[in-house]
Amino acid sequence: MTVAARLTTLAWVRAKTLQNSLRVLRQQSKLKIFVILFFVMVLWGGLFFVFHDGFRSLGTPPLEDFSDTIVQILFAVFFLSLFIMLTFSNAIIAYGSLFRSEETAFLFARPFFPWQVFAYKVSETLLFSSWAFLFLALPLIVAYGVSGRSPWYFYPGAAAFFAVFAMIPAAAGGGATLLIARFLPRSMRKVLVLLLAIVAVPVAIGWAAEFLRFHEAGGRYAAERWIRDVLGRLSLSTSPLLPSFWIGDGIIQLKRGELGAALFRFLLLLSTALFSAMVALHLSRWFYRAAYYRAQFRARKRRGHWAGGFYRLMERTLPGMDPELRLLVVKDVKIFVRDPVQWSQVLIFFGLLSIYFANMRNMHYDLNLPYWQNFISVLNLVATCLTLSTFTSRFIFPLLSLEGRKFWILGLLPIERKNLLYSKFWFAFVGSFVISEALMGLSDLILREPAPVAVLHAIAVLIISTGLSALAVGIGALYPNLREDNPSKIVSGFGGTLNLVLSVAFVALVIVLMVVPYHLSRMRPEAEFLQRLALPGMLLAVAVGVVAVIVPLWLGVRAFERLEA
Amino acid sequence: MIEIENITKRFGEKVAVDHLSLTVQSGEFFAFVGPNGAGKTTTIKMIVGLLHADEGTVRICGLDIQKNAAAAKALLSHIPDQPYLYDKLTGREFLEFVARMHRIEPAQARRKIEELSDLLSLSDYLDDLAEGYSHGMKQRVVIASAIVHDPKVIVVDEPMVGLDPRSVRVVKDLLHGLSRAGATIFMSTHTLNVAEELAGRVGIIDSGRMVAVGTLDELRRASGGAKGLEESFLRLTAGEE
Repeated sequence: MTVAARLTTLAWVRAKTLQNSLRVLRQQSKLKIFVILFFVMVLWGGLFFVFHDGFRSLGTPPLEDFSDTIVQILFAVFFLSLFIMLTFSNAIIAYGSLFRSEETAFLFARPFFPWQVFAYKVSETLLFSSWAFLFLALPLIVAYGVSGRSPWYFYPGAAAFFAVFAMIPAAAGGGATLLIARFLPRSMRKVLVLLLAIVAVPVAIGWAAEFLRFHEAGGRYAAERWIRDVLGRLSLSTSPLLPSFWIGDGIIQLKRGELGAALFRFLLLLSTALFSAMVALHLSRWFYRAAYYRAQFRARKRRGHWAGGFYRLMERTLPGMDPELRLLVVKDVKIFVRDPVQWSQVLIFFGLLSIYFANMRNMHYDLNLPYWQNFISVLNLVATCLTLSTFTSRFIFPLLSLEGRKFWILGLLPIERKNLLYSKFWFAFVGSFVISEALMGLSDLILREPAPVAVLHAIAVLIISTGLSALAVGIGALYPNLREDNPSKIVSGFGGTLNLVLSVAFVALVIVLMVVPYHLSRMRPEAEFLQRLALPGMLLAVAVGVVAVIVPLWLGVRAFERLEA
Repeated sequence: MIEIENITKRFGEKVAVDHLSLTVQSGEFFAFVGPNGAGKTTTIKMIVGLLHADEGTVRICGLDIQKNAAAAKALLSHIPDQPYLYDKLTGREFLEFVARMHRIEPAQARRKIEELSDLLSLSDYLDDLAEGYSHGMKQRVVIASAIVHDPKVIVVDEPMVGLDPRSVRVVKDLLHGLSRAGATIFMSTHTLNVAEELAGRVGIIDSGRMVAVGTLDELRRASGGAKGLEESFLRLTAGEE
């Protein structure tokens, strides 16, 4: 069989799989498909209007003369961040796909060269890891195109830029995974993840700080000085040697109708993408087989007893739970703690927030002014709770589905099924509450908020973490996917999307009802009606919180008791 | 004791199990055989409460598996055909988890786990994470988890798959010993010589219906004088092909 015939066979298998998936999708409830499309359109619409408004405001004084430069910086930073995230994402997904997938084992036993299997699996990784980022980038690019008079070829041209750009981090991630699996000792891999997190967080913080300064530009700097200042600080991301700079610049040139310059950028990207792919393929020729054999050998991992005392303490002391419930919670904690892919993501998300909170005083906000103090305070609460909602959506929602093939273990336990669900709820709640309460405590401490505000925030976080946990567990039980082992695929289904949308809406509702009127009344003490709104708002928020706990858990318990595995 | 009364399970148009009735007495070793897709695993899942019967009831030692699920499951254990474990728990942690969920005192659970570890030769890897186990290792840990709480009824689905010959012998002796000690064993298998060797009675299911139940002699007679269980099985299930 020729090389071309083998690659065609692999492409044919993928096309058939896609065709069968679409057929299954067509057999699903029309209402389900409609609801998914509706939420997608709402999300896209919302993002489009936010971005469109942003681009339009760039065309107004005092920034109008610098709008092109600002967009160039924005795109450079956006695409560099995207590049880094895509490289990480590709590397993580590629590891599972290249070394753990049953299909890979099947292909290795067939007459395919390792580089062909590598090319096939990395193409699949590229699609899995890139679609969500492209999904979010689409409204940004469309908003940019619509905000000016872009020629018709702007849109297909931008799509081509994206497609070629996405190949580079895929090749980089795939190649890096290959080298790590082949050469890095297994004991060093967790250390590597931790180191990357430690490096990534301050870099991200640095960028975040620069963007936060943007809000102050009108008051504290002349626009020109601000641009120069930012350009100097962001010189790395605006380096003309980076692919992320070429795509941003190319899209800007497309919009301006500078076809020749855009084509040059595109060809630069294309040649780099092809070169990266070639390097990755050569690496796979040299190292994939050896790396695959090495990855199949799993060193015996004996668990030390250092954490045993902690788990035993949890088993004895978790409040308000039956002993069986505690055992189930501790089991989930152990599984979470022993999986670096899980906790490293939590560490990055919440570590980023905590470093930002800790550094607020160095960011030149005039926190002595009530306006800024209240504004930043609410912003921090929103950031913490939205991050929490992504945490519950990403990690808690799929918990029940991930029991999947192991469901026989839980299904055979001599306890009522509802207790299994409650154990997931407690696991989610304890984790969410401790992390988010600590973060908000830190924020209030740094902002020197008075005790009543800190108490109000603590209650809001309590309500939100309880509600988000109940939503994720309840909807997870309503829409389980017991056949899927990959949490990313579980989360991207209907139930996961519904949970994310409801979680974000719940966070917004509680904060608007409970916290915003109080802070507004502090910012404008003369507006008495705001003070009158505060108490009813808080009571209403508590009621919303109670509903958000009871309804999803009740529906979840009903569905879970009927669940067949 | 297992009492199955007229259970039926449908998946859409397909009737997976069709009005099946059976009683397996305390201390009895019952083998359940049938072609692929005959309804064996569906029946087993209804017995252990992982599936709900559309019609009929299953009782474990007199307790309805649906209405008194927790009490019935305290007396029951199950060894599934695929031994899925929690990858990030060690074998010992998994066994302790199961034992304590059955309210066995920690000290007693530890003693029992040591006994089972010696019996099933688990000690070399019991403190390793299950993610590194082979199929056979997982199967032995699952078997240990099924008997750690001294169940009255053990429902087994293809227990010998993936085990080496020595382990097969150990598991056969173990199940036989439990049966003689009064436990009810319900074992589904394709390995007919194991069924012949261990079971007091054998049930043959085909297309969701029980086509024959009885001792080996009774099955031979029912199949017109077949020489062994294999020939009885082939004759009794031939009509459907």
